[in-house]
Amino acid sequence: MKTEPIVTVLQNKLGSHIQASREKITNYDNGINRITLWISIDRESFHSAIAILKTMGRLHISTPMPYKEYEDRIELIYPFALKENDTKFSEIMVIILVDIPKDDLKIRTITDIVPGALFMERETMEMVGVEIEDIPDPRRLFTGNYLPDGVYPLRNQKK
Amino acid sequence: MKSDITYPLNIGPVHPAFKEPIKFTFRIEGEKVVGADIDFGYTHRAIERIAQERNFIQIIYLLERVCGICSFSHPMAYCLAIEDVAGIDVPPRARYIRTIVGELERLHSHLLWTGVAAHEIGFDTLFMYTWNIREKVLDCLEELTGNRINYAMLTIGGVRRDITAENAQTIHKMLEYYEELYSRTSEILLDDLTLRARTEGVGILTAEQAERLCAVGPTARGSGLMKDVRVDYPVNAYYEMPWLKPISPRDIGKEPIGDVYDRMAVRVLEIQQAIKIIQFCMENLPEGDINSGSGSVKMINTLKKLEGEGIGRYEAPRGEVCHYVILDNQEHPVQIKVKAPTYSNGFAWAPMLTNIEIADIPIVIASIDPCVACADRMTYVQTDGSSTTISWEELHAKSIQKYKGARKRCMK
Repeated sequence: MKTEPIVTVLQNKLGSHIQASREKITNYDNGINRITLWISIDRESFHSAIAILKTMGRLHISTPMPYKEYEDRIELIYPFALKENDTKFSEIMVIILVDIPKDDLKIRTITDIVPGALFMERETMEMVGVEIEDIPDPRRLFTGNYLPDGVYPLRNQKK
Repeated sequence: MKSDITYPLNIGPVHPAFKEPIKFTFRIEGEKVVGADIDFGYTHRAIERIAQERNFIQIIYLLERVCGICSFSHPMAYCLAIEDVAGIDVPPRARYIRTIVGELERLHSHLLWTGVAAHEIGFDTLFMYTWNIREKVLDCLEELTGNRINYAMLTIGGVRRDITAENAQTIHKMLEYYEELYSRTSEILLDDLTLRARTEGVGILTAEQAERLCAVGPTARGSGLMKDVRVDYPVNAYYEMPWLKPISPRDIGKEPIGDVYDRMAVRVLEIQQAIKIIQFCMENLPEGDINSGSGSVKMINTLKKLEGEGIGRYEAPRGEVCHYVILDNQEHPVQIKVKAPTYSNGFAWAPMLTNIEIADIPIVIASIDPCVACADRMTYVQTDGSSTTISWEELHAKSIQKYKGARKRCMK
C-alpha cells in the first residue's frame, strides 16, 4: 500500500485541515517495505479523516493512545494499522496526530467509526485527563473509584 | 415456564479460569446469559509509568514481566520499536534466532491453552496429556536460554545467546518428538466427539464483529479474518518464508463461524505451523553476528541522544502485541505504550458471552486465551437484595456435568 494516495485523498477532501505529514520507509529484501505515515490534523477534521481512512481498507487500532505533553497543549497520537487487501506485508501504520489546547482538553470519540477503540479512549480519559465527547461508556477502565477527581496517573510535565 | 426476571451474576475479580484478576458481571435469565460486562484493573502494575524511570536496557527485562507466558513477545515488540527509532540493523542470524525462540514460545503457549481449555470443560485426561508433552519444549527453551520462561534472550540490536551445535541437536530432537505426536494430538483435539459437542456453535464471534472490535490473533483468525502480524508486516525472519500464511479453519476444510471450535482449530494448526517455521529457520540459519556489537553502555549512550517515535509490532501466541515508544534526548523513553492481545480481544468477549449457558462460561472466557488472572468465588445476586454465593468448584462441576451429558449423547 502506498502513502501518497492516502495523503492526496485527505488533502483533497480536507484541504488546509491537514497540517503536516511525514513518512518513514524501511526497506527489506524482496522489495518488502515497512511504512509508517504520520499525519497532523486539526481537532475539527480529525474525525472526518478517520472516517475517510476507514473507507480505504481494514482499519485496526494498534496500541492504546500515546500522547506528548507540551506547555500549552497536548498532542494525542492515534496509531492505526491500515490494510487495503490481503496482499502480504502490505499493512502500513497510519499515525494521526491531533493537537488540543490544555485549557480545553476535549476531543470527539472515534468509537462510532472504530468501535474497538473504546478501551483506548476510556484509558485516555482516566490516565491523561482528556474528556472524550459522546463516548458510549465513560466509566474508568483500570483505576478504581477511590482515585480523586483531577488526578491523572500518566500525566507528566516532560515534553 | 419462561421467566422475565434477569439476575446479575458476578465472576471474579479473582477466579481460577483466568491467569490474572478480572471481574465479569453477567445478566442471566435462568441458565442463559443475556449480557456481559467486564471490569479490568485489578492487576494494574503501572509498568508504563515505571518504564519512564528505567534506562533502555533495564526496560527489556521489566517488559518481560508484563506477562509470564508472552515473556518473549513484549520485549520483542519493545526492541523492534527502539530499533525502528534508532535505525539499528539486526544481523540475519539474530533475526532467525528471534524467530526460533518466538515460535518455541508459541508452541508452549498453545499447548498450555489446549490443556486449560480441556480442564475448563472437564476433560482432565487431555489437560494432563498436553501439559505433559509441553514439558519437552520448556526443557528445550531452558537449554537454549537458561530459563523455562522469562528468557532474557533479547537485547536491542540482536539476541544475547547463540544457538550452538549442541542446542541445534536438542531442537531437532524436540521437533521430531512433536512431529510424531502431532497427528495423535490433533486427532484428539479436532475429532473427539465430546470435545466437538462442547465447543461447536458456542461463543460465536462473527467476522464482521471481529473486525469492528479490532480482535487479534487466533480469536480473529478463528472468525475467518486473515489477520496475522507475521504476514501483514515485515518482522524478524518471517518475511523470508514465502509459504507462510495466516491459519484459518478453512485449512481443515471448514468454513469459519467464529465459535470456540474454530479458535481451537486455529491454535492446533498453529502448533504444526510453528514446528514448520522452526524447521525452516534451523535449516537456513545464517552464519554471522548475533547482535549489533554495541554493549549496553554504548547502546544507552547512543539512544539517549535520539529524538523520535517508533513502533514495534509482533504476533504473540495470543495475538498482536504493539509498543509505541517516544524518545526525547533522555536516558529513558519519555513514553512507552504497551498493548497486549487481551486489550484488543477483551472487548470481543461481550458478543461471545451473549446467548450461552452458564456451564459454557468457563470455556468461552478461556477461548480467547486471556491474559487475566484467577478467582474462586462467584455470587448470584437476586433482585430482591438477597444473594447466594457458590464456589468455583460448583461452577466447574456444572461444566463437567455438561461434558458428561455430551459424552453420553455421543456414545449412543
